[in-house]
Amino acid sequence: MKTESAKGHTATMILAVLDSGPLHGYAIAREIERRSDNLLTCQEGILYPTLRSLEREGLVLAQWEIQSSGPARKIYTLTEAGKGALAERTQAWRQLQQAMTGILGGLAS
Amino acid sequence: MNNERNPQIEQYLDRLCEELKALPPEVQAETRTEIGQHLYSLAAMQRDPKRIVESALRQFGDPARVGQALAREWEEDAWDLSQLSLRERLEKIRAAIELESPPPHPSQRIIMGVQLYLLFGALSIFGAHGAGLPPHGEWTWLGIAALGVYAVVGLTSAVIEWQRAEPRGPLRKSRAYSGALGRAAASFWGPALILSPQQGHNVVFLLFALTLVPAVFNRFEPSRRARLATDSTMIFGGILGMMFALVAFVSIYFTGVPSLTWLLFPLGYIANRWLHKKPLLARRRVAP
Repeated sequence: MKTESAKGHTATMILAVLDSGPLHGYAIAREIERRSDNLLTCQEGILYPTLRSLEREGLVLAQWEIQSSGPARKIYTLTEAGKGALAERTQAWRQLQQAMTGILGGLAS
Repeated sequence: MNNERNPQIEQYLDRLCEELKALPPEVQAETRTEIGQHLYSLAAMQRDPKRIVESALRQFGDPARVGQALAREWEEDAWDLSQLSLRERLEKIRAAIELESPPPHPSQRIIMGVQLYLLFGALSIFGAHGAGLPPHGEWTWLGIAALGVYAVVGLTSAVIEWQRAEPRGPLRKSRAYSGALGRAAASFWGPALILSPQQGHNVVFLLFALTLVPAVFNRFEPSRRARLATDSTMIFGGILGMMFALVAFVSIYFTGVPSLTWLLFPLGYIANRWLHKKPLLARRRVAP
């Protein structure tokens, strides 16, 4: 499953990854790959417009942080509103998953 | 990540940041830094040493599209003029027009240069005709031929513009189609005005109205930047039109148009030079 299947869910995946703690853009991309066992990959340029959109909606907070070694990096943190949005999206996804399981399970039997 | 700059990555960032040039400088700088860090990290983890940078850039995606997507996200905040001084507003309007007018295809630049020479050449011939050349002589036919070629190459330019529409080309469909229509109309209203200054005015006005169609198309663009650029262009266009009308009136009233058209030939050269940033027939520099 490559880009096409993941399209449209990038924002949800970012919110889910940030739920574990603040990360920078590159780390978000790697974490999505790691959690999906490299099944989900997207063109990483998409991440930044999506992050900006989430920031405008107040779902994530972006801050430049000085690192102990190396240059400052922009770190993204999930806000309270972001946590709420993630809960809603997770719920919606589970409902869709249940519905799809019902349909596909029926076909398999 | 080491501190060495990679020319390919820097070129990629340059292209991406071209799409952001209307945003505040600090936003551009931060975006470049952030995406640069990502790309250098990505290049550092690639396994194939021969294709490190290529695969990193491929994984990141087309720089123009990433830049455009980022610009759209910033746009709503960036194109609000309400809190700006007059100078800042004018600067912002200039940037909006520049971004909404992507550079023409290289062949269209050449066509525009050729058209300028043909148009002003024909104007000079007809100006001389008015000043004493025999009517319907070979010079007159040469002038008509020049205007015919002007119209044909103008239509070629319109076809090129049409073909630049996505997904084949770099322009949004509405902009490419309206641009093509504008170019096609402009191919005829110049010759019509010159060849039929008396009866041709109605045709000219109709064709000139057609050249305004692109502005109307762009008016319905959802982006605030496109609307700002279109509104400003129409206002500036109106002011320029009034200035032209005034100059034409003064010139006809006091001196007669034909005697002044000789002056247009050097103007054509200057316009062409401005268009190309160098003369059309400049000697090419050979790379060492």
